[in-house]
Amino acid sequence: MVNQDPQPEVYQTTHTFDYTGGNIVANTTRAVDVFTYQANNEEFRLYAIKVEIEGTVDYGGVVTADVELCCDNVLPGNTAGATIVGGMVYSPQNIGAPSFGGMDFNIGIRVGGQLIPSTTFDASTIFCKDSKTMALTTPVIVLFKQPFQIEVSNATTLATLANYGIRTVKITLIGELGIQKQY
Amino acid sequence: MANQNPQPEVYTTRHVFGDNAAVISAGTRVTQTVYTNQANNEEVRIYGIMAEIMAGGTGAAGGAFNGSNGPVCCSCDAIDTAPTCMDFNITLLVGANAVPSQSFSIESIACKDDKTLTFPVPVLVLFQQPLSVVITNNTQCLAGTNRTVKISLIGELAIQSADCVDPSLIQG
Repeated sequence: MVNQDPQPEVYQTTHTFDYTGGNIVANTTRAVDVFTYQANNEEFRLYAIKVEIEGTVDYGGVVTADVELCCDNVLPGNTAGATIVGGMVYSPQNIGAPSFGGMDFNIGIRVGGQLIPSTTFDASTIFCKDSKTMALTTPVIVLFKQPFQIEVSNATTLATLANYGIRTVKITLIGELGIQKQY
Repeated sequence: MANQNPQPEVYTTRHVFGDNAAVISAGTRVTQTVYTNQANNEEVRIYGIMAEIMAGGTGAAGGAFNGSNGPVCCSCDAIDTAPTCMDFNITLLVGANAVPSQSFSIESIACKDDKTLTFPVPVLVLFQQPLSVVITNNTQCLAGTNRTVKISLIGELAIQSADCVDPSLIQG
């Protein structure tokens, strides 16, 4: 129930993929419910989403958990600790993996049992924008009693990584809760 | 069919280049079809596109590089070699025609801060019009190189609305 009309709302969901002990096959979904606590005359309008991808990484010998991953970072002075793909040097280090990887996820927004937008869409492109935010062309509307879920799935197989195989995708929903208007 | 009017839409396509062995010849095209599932009174309006170029692809024999995709750096420093295999073009096919009428560069979009190109007017996709995204490799890439180009079309699905005609424009 709103305290003002409209009332800004920011909801966050966390989706964890742990492949330290085995592969996670492509398109494995982690779904999280969002509770809006709206009244029967209120609607939630979702205007934009922000994406953050965190993982366990090794920046030059120090293994650290829940670090925000880099999109195109090149280690400035420690190429020994980096992953090299096709002559290019990347972080985070993923020992045992053919590349740094683990950043290819899809997002689905499910409202009342339906995907809105109607298909899942890419997460890492949004994460790698400076703003880490994508505005939707029109708001997603969530009505009273409609179940509201965020689904994150890995687009490609996450191959086992004993030390570094944890990825956490955080989705921030930016919107407002307002009383329904009749026009 | 839209669940709300208009309904935001984001269509993502993935275009994989390279088999982890052979060179990727210049002019190689990878086409993906987008299924809008729109009704006969609905239209899709595409307002902008997001692009990202990732290292890694499906790899040889079905997947040496599966799960290893990560974004390619756009401007690597002196320690690194210059980014290679980034020269791709995109064509949007609506119906049988390219809209915009020419292909244009993906690299410059993927390397923008916002990775987004906004069109001055939306691309319209009507009922039963095939919508395809074609990515073309402009420059030959070395053997063993893998790239996955990801394109997200940002738009909306809406019921077609009839334009009102100003009566003063009707002669007679």
